Amino acid sequence: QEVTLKVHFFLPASSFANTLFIQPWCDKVAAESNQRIKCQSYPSMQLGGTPPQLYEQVRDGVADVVWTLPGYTAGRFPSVEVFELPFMMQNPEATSKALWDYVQTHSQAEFKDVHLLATHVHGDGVFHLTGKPVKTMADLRGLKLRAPTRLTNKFIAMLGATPVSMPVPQVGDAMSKGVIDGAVVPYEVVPSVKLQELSKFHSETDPAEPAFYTSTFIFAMNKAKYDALPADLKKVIDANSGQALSGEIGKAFLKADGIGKRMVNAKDVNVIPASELASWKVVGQKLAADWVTEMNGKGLPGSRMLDDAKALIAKYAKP
Amino acid sequence: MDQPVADSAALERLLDRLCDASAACGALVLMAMAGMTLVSVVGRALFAHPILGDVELVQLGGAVVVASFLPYTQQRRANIIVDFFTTGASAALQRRFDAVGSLLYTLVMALVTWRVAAGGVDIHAAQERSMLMDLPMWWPYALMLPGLSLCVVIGATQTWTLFRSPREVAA
Amino acid sequence: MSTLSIGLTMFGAMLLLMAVRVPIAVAMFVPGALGYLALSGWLPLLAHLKGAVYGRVSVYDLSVIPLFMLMGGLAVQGGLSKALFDFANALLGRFRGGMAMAGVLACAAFGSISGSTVATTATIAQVAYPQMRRIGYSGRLATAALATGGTMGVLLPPSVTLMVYAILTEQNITKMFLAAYVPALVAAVGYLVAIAVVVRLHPEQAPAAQAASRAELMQTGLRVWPIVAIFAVVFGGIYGGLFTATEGAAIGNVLTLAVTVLRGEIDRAKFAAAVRTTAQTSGMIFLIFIGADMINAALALSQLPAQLAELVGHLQIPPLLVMAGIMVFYILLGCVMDEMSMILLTVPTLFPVVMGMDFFGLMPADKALWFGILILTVCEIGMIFPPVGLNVYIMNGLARDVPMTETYKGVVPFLLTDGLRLSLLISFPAVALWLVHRLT
Ligand code: NA
Ligand code: NA
Repeated sequence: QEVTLKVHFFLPASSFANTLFIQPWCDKVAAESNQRIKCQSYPSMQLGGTPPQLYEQVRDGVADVVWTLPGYTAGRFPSVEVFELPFMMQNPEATSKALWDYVQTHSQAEFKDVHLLATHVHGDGVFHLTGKPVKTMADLRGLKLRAPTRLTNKFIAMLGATPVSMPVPQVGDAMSKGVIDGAVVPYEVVPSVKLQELSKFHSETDPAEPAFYTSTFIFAMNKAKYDALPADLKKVIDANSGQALSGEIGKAFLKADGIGKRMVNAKDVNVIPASELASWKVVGQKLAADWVTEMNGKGLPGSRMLDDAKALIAKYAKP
Repeated sequence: MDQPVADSAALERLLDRLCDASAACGALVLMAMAGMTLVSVVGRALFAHPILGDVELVQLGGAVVVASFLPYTQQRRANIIVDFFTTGASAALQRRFDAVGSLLYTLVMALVTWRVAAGGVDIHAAQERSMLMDLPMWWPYALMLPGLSLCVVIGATQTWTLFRSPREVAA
Repeated sequence: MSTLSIGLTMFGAMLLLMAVRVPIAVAMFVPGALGYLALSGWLPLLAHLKGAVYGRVSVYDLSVIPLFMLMGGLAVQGGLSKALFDFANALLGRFRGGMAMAGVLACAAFGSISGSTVATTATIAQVAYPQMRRIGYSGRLATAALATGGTMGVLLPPSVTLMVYAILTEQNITKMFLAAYVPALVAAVGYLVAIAVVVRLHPEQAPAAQAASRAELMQTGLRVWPIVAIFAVVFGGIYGGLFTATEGAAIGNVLTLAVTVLRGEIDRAKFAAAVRTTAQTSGMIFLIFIGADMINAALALSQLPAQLAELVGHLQIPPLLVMAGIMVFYILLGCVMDEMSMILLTVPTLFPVVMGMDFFGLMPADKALWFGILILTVCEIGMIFPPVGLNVYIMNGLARDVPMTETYKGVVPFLLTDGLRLSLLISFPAVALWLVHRLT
């Protein structure tokens, strides 16, 4: 029996997400299944719909495998938001592994309709700006900034900027038309939206400090498609999913950050020092406290979720 | 034969009024979007204080506007057709083609209406909300339904009229 | 049935349905939905449709269409656009065909910011078409000039479509934009010459040249200032980067409504008329978007564009013939797809093929820029090419008094200049590359 997987995602085929992770994954499962599992990739949302609709597409079988952000649909996956709180993530590999463990405990109900292959986060978020660099919190005032998810939008608003929420493929267009003055994304996305040409300044936070934001991702398969696989093919998929894969993706994204950073002009990069970030962390703590209250209001164990996430990140951060 | 004609004229007038009402609702939403955007731009320019979520309001509103405008287009038979290949055909044959065309239109709009409703139900169940304004995302889906349903009714009426009196010359 | 033959059958069924007067949106949707069904099954089709329609009608950039439509409708009903045209005519009426040329240039200016051929034609035509007819232009020339004019702006920077091409092929955006200027200028000159020749050979297509007196100019000039002021705010703000096209459209709407109400030029009935035209045109355009979206999704699923692209690329014939084949391929795709879908679905396959071939010994970077301009040019030609040109349909839908045949006849001279321009671009890549080399 041969199986073709329709793999749908929002970035172009040339993106690091595809070249460093999705395509290699496809090649690996193809090799290990003696070419009986094949991917049919549809990059750049070729199958239609919008990036926020990718989750429903894989749940309903429009696509067989998708790579997407739970955070593109606010309110749907409250539990994983905790990883998107400011200053949580230091190393994407460790945090991706932690996210996998966390999801097994706290997010089973939210993801029950799909078969999760991996969960991961990206590396440090960076400000990419058209007009002026961000050196202090005051520089953010009045800037229209694109942010990916609910909490990052909130955090940016609390810092004084005006968040505009949109999926990453729209960033280049919005930036060139002046819809936004900048975007927060990791370096890894830079070539996929041409930020090295569209933005002038790249303001990153002190690399010794945790990232001021990250986003969570899922790599998920349609449940019926997975269940219908013969036992030996299921085994191939199982061998190529789970915590190990999650950690590898996190590592690949860190590598991609390095390549992406080399594409921007080094003289356009500035580092926001740890001393400045102290006041940002105060704001971040307020956001975390608000989030705990909000989760408690939904009947979820807010502070336990926060503590578990922190403990798991710390556990995997140890060398 | 007089009675059905009078009935269909009355039905036609009712549909005209419903289409006007739907288009008017769409225009109100559109003007509200325009006003909101103006306030946001002025707030941004003068006070560095735009409306948070102005972009998503335009997206949500845009969907409602379009759905409210669709019935008027069909009522006026303004959805574009290609008459290039059928200019030589008899009026009766053209009318038969149009009957098939409006039947297909009706089926397509019925399918679309049903699926948008299903999508709204799904999003309601998933409690998805808009990113900045925290509005329930099923609202625009629900607000699209009156306009889309009206399209189905209009399509069905036109199909029925066209099939019933195939010899009548198109108005 | 192979996926390829399903794709081809969909295409054929669409053409057949269109030929027998099925509304074109429906003629795209039905084969699209059936093709999707055959390729993927009931459940995926039904699931796809749950989100696809909302996804298509809730696009921020596309809300400029109803917004500019309503602004145009209010300007028409309030007499503002008549004042504008009287003034423009007083200025340009001394040149035969002058107003048609102005219409083409207005399309170019608007298209460069809207980035969508269809939105451009619809918006400009809403204001310009009735006025062109009023002063004596034939339906043939008026619809053809506006439909063709709409195809030009998308090439003009900032072009979203070019940006997407640059991203897919890893080219520099600035160079990509620079490469577009001269070809866009050539296009404009070609269209203006086409109009000049048409009105010379067929004087009945355009009103006679008529020099306005100084008094007339003064008189029309005095009435034109409100609309000029509104345009200055809206387009000045958009070009100046103060606000986006959608925001500009929103502001223009509020300003137009305010001006016409304050001057007592609009009443309930006129407002209702503006709303009706807005509803009718927006409904028509978005239904086509919904239909095109369905068949595009099914074509993507069938991989027809990618497979055809591969086929064209592997023909064992000289590079220039391959290039000609590629151009024909895009003109065919232009039947059902907008420029963005065409680029997204085909460039990843075709680009490596083209890069592997030798054209005049061009360097890879130059070849990539040149190819980008070429395919965007043919994408746009595809949108007005008979028998199925998306933009011709939109224009014709706005001009309900003109048969489609007339519009297509009118488009022919413009297509001739397009053909010349394309041959020029293919034979002399320098047309695109000269400015790039000059400035970088
Ligand atoms: Na443009
Ligand atoms: Na065409």
